[in-house]
Amino acid sequence: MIQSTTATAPRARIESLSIAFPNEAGDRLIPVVRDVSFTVNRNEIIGLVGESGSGKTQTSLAILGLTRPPGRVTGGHIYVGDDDVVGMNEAGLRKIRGRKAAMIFQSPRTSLNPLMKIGDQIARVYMRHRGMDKATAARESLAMLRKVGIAGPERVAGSYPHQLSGGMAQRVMIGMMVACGPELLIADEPTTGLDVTIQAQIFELITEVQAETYMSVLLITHDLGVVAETCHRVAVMQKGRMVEIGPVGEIFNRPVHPYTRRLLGAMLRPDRPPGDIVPGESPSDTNSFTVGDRSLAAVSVDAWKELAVSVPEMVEFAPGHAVLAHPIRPAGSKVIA
Amino acid sequence: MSLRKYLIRRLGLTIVTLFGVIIAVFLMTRVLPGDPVSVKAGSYATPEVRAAITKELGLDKPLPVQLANYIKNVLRGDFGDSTRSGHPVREDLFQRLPATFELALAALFLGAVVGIPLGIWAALNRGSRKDAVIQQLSILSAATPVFWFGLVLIYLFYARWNIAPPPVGRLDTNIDAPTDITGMYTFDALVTGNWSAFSNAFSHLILPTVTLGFIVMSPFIKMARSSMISVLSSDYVLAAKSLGLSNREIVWQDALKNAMVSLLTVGGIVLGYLLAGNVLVETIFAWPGMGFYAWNALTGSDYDAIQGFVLTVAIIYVFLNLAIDLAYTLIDPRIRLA
Amino acid sequence: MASTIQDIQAAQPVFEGRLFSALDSVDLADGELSHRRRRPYSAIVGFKVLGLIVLLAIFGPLLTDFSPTKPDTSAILTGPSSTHWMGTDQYGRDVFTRVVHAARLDLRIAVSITALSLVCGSLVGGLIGFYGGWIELITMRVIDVLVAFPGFILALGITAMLGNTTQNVIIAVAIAYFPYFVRITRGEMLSLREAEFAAAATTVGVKRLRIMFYHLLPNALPPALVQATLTLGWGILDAAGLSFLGVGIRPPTAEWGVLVGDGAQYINSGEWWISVFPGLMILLAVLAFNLCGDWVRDRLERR
Repeated sequence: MIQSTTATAPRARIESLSIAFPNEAGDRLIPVVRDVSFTVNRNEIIGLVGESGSGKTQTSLAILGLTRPPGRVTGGHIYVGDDDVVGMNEAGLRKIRGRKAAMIFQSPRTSLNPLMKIGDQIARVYMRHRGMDKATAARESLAMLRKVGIAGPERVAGSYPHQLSGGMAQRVMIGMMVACGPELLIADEPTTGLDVTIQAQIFELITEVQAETYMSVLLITHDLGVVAETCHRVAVMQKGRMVEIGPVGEIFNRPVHPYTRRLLGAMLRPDRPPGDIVPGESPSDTNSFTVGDRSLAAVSVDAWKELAVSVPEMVEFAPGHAVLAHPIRPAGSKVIA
Repeated sequence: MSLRKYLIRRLGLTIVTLFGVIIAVFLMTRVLPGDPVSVKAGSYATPEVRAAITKELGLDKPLPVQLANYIKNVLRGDFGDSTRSGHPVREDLFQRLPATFELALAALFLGAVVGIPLGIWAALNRGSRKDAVIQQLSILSAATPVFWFGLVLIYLFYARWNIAPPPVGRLDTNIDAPTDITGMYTFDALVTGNWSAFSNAFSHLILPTVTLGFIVMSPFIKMARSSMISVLSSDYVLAAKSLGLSNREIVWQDALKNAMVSLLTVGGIVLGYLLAGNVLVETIFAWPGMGFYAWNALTGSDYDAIQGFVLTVAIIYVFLNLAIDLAYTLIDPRIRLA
Repeated sequence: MASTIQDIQAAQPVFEGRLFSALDSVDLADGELSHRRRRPYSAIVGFKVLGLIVLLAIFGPLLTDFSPTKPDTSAILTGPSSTHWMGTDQYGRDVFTRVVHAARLDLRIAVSITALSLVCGSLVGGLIGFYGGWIELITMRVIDVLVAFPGFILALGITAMLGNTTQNVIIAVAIAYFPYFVRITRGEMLSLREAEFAAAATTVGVKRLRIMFYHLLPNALPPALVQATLTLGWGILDAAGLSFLGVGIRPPTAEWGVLVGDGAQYINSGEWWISVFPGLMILLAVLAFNLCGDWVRDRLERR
């Protein structure tokens, strides 16, 4: 188990999580998340990156028990605080949602009830989670709108979601989330489709809230620039597997997994010529290295099929930095099936 | 576009459509074969009599003039006279409107009250056996011929088991109609405290209502179910869940509210059906409404009455659809405030 | 020293655990039901029933010796029995024979109505969608007027004026459904008009009309076909309803609606079979069409 350097109890611990969906015909289960393990520690912002379809959203939905049927968690555990969310009943899940962990979504305007006024939507969160009465909740909603930086909160409180801009809607969602007071925030691509300037504001808001409340943030994004700016650690997923995880500086400077290197190589950086990961090396599907006396190869997941490989494991490459790699057996030795 | 612009446009369209409807009804009788002169004159009329009647009916004038006269008359409320009753068609229809209305409302109510909860329940239990059964019920009810179903109900409940009153009209002959307020016997009797009239009128109302209501249930079930399902899988329901709101809160505040909006479209389909199905049901039960009147007109070759009936039904239908569109603008803030 | 993947490959093939199974999916045991797994039971039932009815229509008359129209005063109003499976009516005619003969007519009516409205409606819709302009404007207003009437009432009015023949019933009901097809194909045509392949075809110099017929119309058809499956069922209901009222097909022609009408007066006195059996056939036929239509719709929408 890879631990971060802060030695306090993690906010969330995901162990060997696997999620699958049935196909159209309904006779086969297609895995979308396979054997993913990582922790989210107190007071940290951890980024979860990967292309669409890599399983990042499904992983995060599973933390709140929101895997949409017919998909289901097929293995593993997710510990939020002390409780295992996998297999928990609705009542238990409801206690966790909002209070322990909350989520903001990609498309904030469609995440709001189109027929309910903004003020009412925030208010009902206060009524449920803080037990307030209607009047108090209404007041707190206005205060919250102000807090998340919305000008003219009274007007916004009386408006409907379609009247808000994307940025404002996301602020409202952040406000609703903060109203719950969770220990863990999962932000699923919160700024996709927003202006770059608005993006920056939203992240500012999130980091502000995080700093105030010591909330942990699991930030799902495909934007490595944002990760570099805001996150402490980053985890990389490819095709349902977690392939690398570690502190941001470490990963950005010494990426081990070929997929991570490809991602970073695709990102333009002012200090490096575009396309270069390490000068002289071209991106490939494998990267071999040694740890202690073991020989290992990190292989890009889409190359696994062609290259008959051994069962991979998360290997600690450097303190806090782990990579999914396959032990390499010396040539000639057999392996028992 | 702004609300006002939308309303103006919609009203304009309605007026154009209404004119089109009047013209269409006119064309239906004038252009299609069928000789109203012979009907009125009888087979033994002399040419002079026929000429006189032709003139009287305005059929000697060129078509556009006839059309203009027709439109003029319609706008004045003159739909011609019934050859059977001798009264103006408009009066006849107006007299029978409450009976049709009572039946249509009752059937609509029954269909909605039974159909919507079933559809919602099916959506909440999607994929289960309950869902399958409800869906099958809806398919079955949509395939049932309403006239056959009415006869089956009459056979079972009247002829066989003797529970229902004779399927003739709205009241037994020995009971007097209640004081006329709306013309809807059940309502009027209830409001005036006339218990015997109410129970009698109600007992006569049941079978035709169930006949129509059973068929009408189907679109309500289908729409309630599909709209509930799509709402339940929406982003905002997911977000509401993620905030830890209870299922009850989510169903009532998010799901139902949004699902109901699309139920308005069902209203249009159902009303169209009720206006049409009324003819069949009223005829079977000898229910003295507009539909029964139309059937009598049809069998009696009472062309003015037939024409008047078709025109009236179309006008009602156009206005009802307009009302539904307007209701949408009231309910959905996205349209109202756009 | 780090080995390369080639070293790995040179080594003996390795354990392929369940974790890998070609990175692929896993077969679900039969017991594991998924939400989306749709056993097409309804469709199967629909097709079977439809098949039965078609068979009945084709071969039914061969099954009975009775005449559908000749009265038999010796067997008036007898209930279902081993000789008369569905009983006899007030003229002593065997109900089953009449029902079976009616099957032919009703199926023919359903198909005719659907074909007529589908073909005419789609053509008109496609043409006006393609060319636009005044024609489109006026046609759409005409369609609006047609749609302003409840369908059955429209058919009622038209049949009343045209006269009670089978042909008129078909025409009248087809007119009632015609607007749907116009709207559907026009809508599809509008969006397809912008489509790339139409533009591509023009650049190659293909005549516009050809483009419409060979490229656009086939693409616009699937939604129209979906509507057609609905029209099959509803068409029977409308035609039978009209005939029941006495406005459509007239007795002694054997049509299911007519048959129900024949027996309506005897319901009160308890001779239920005259109306119930034909009506049941209507229900089964419409049900079958609707179920098959649902299946067709599912398949078309999945594309």
